[in-house]
Amino acid sequence: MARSRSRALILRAFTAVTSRWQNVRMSSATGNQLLEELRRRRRGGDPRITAEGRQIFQRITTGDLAEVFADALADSSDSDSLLSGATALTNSLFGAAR
Amino acid sequence: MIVVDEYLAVRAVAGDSPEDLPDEPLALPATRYWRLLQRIHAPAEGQLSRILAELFPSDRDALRRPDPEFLQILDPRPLLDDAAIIAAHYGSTGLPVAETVAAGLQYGENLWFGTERNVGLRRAEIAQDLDITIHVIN
Repeated sequence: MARSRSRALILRAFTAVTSRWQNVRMSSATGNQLLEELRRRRRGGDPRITAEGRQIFQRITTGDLAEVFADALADSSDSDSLLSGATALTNSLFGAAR
Repeated sequence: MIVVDEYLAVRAVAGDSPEDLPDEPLALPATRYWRLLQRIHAPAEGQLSRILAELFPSDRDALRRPDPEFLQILDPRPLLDDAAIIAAHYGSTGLPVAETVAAGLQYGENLWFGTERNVGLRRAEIAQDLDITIHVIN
């Protein structure tokens, strides 16, 4: 009698442990799926971008207009003394070093 | 979080990130964002101007107000003191260079560029001096 009760206790404990382990494995698999889904969504880009917009952005970053885009960005810096590091603006604000 | 230039920022928003780019949230320094916005709102003359004029409002909005899931704009305030120190130390440094280097120091001592041209000689020299690794992926 006592022997069968202890066997039942061991069996119940074993079942509880394996069930918990299965839950851990399942949640780990679900977590990985979730991460992969988030990664896939991030890699897909902003849904507001249209197919035409995507083509234009590809042209200016990796396509035929990539150099032109680089020139335009450089122009923004060159034409702005704060961005270019030129001393003219600093001098006009704080006075030239004497 | 990794610090990127305008090229990788635009590519991420457009869903065209290079495979080699780490799968982490992307951050664009504010002065670089300013340069990008200038091109969106006041495109230069010529072919670039014409092509950017063809963008739909939703395409523009995605860059004007980027979803942080795809691109975050770095708050310049916590970086300004470091940027000023860098500018004072190295001299002849514009805000985009100093701020980007300061951001690189703050975020893992790495900077990610989508084109070699965007790195610039001055930034490369300062980054090397400060042990910041520059990655260029096309």
